[in-house]
Amino acid sequence: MICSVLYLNGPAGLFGADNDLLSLLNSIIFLVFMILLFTGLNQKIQMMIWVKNIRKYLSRIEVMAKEAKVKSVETIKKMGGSNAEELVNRMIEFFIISPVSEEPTGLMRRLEHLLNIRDERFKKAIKAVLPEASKHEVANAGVILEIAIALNAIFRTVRHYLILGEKTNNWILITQLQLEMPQIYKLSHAYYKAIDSFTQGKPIGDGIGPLVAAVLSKDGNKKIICEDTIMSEVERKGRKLIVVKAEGPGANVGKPGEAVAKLVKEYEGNIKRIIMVDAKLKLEGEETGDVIEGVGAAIGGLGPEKFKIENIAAHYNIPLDAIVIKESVEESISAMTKRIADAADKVLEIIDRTLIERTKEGDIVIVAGIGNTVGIAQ
Amino acid sequence: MDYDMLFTLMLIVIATLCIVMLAARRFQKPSEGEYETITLRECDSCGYRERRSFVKGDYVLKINGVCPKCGGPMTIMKIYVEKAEARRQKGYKQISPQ
Repeated sequence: MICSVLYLNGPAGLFGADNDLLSLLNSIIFLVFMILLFTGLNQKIQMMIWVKNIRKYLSRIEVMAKEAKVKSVETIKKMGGSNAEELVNRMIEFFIISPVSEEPTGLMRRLEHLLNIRDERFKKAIKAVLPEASKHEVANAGVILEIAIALNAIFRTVRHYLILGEKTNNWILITQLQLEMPQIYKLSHAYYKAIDSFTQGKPIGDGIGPLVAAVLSKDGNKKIICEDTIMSEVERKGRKLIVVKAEGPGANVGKPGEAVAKLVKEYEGNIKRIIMVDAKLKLEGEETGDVIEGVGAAIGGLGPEKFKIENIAAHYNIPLDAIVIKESVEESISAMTKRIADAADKVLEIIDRTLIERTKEGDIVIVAGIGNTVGIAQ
Repeated sequence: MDYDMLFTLMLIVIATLCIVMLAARRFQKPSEGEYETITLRECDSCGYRERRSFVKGDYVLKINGVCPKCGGPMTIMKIYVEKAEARRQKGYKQISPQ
């Protein structure tokens, strides 16, 4: 347009004294602005730009979700599974209905019951396809399948809100989605990258708790205390340590709550302290691998395991010490970084200090390493 | 020269450029460096430590090989990822996987 204007007016006529062209141009611009302002077209243009951006992110999440599905099929096939595709297609939209929370009586028991049923269904479905696979292989395949399910759920949810926003012209919904998309994509990408860690059996950031427990219990006698959970007794600084962790090296979080509760009951409450070691989501600006101390049950998840530990500790009046290692959500599900692995030494120093300062020789202390124990044995 | 005209044209050009840049804004992918997974082994007898590249099948507390110093059993104590660049700068000794 500018070229044609230059051509029509020529070098002499371009900036003519009467400025007819300038007036016309200004009028057009004014008119366009008015139309945009009073018809809401400006918002529609803005929405179009945001929708385009969301679609870019969404298409990549879709690719990752599809690839995760393919990878989980391949992993199961490599382990010797025959009906891998059928299994993945059947489980990809598996869901769990949360128990009624308006009636809190027995909520944890109901939730635990549902989680147990879910775990059992998963394990049985995978075991049916992989009858010859070891316990750890089944656990790893299960986690890879869960990642595929998570990515598929993220993709479907984002797509739902995008289409809903477009259909209803809800620019607030589109704005929120647009602002959240980089974070959602980052999380999806971390999930996608985590598949390789689980396929190869590499420890992940969340495994720092089990890593500390593994180092502590290296020379101890191990035995299974409850489903997927190991305990071992070791002596340290003249105290008897009972170390609890999930059974590795397969991808497993075990049932540390149940294990701690069982141990406290076995010792009739004669436990001086319960020390819990877990990964903690850091705040932006904080350093990964920083180790901090506090009190309480340092354990994530939906609640039943945490509830059991708090319950038993309160019942027998046992102090709960929490030692946590800071890391981002991406780092917690990706292969363990050096900074996080090195934090294990700092945690051991804190445990030793805790034993010396807050317990006496001969006392019994439970140390629970909380987290996913992929790539970490006992 | 009519400065108003020049200013208007300049604004139009800037506005057009802004729209084009906004439309062609490239997708931002999280930056990824070159990472390498390291397996750290420690001798149970003399405490000698050795790093090597991760091999599938490695896991923490796996007894893996013998100590080159005292011949005692070596146990994998840590497995972690490290930026390949950082490794080169620190001048770590690269030991081929066994």
